[in-house]
Amino acid sequence: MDEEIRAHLERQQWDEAFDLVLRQYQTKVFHLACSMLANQEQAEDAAQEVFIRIWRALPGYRAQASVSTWVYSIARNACLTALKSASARRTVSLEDPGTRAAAENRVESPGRPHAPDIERLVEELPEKLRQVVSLFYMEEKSYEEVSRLLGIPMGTVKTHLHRARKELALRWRKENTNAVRGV
Amino acid sequence: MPCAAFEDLLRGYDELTAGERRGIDAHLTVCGDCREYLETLAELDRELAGLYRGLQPPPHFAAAVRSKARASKPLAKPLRPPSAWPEVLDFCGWAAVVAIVALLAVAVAAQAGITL
Repeated sequence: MDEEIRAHLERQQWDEAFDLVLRQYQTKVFHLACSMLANQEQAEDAAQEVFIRIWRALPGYRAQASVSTWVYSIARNACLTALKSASARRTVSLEDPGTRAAAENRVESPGRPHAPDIERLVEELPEKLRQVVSLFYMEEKSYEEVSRLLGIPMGTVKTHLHRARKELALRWRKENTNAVRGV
Repeated sequence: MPCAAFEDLLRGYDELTAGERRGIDAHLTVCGDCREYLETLAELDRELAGLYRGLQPPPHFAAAVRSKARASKPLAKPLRPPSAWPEVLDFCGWAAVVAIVALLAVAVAAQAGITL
């Protein structure tokens, strides 16, 4: 697919090249945005912004970098920008109708009334660990893909994942114990 | 809590070789804490896989991107080649330094009465 994209770019067939880039990378870019922003709505907006940037930058693509490296680098930058502006305006309040509704609508799984909320536990992890652990499971446990998407060495991915598992296991057991004691 | 000597190994249990696992499996038959820890890790793994498996962009995503993108054009031409100005200014700077040093040398030589 990347060869086809390059061929279209060389012939300045921007529409065709863009369609292929979108088809090939939309899921990866969406996963990256979800892992970095931890919010699907914001991730969708950020992923759209990534492709707008790619569209505008198509004529500037240099064949020295692989298409995926180029796409992921644009994606990381756009997501970082989105993350900064999201952090700047993030004020989660129980008075916020969305937050209140989510809290009220939280249903407990039948048969496991006190199971810890894994999504919340992941959200509470330090940012780097959260990004790696969520992306690792989105990318079907591929260390290589996580490394390529986040632009960090594979060893770092493994270290972060190891620490994330340690932290999650600790919190998971603590919450289970509290639930059994009725705390 | 799992045994300190086994905690790290248990977190990487899935990736261990059969030989490496044998030692741990032997320990697991006699250690309830480590067994429980391994079960917690497996449960976490299932929960995480369930949470993120099959996550896809919404169905309207590609169409929305196409329509937004095509409202604008790609940049008309590739980025310009780097400007030559920094090189020119660099050259001028070094030329000025050389000229000042030469003038100082001539002045010092003249004061000392040395004819060049």
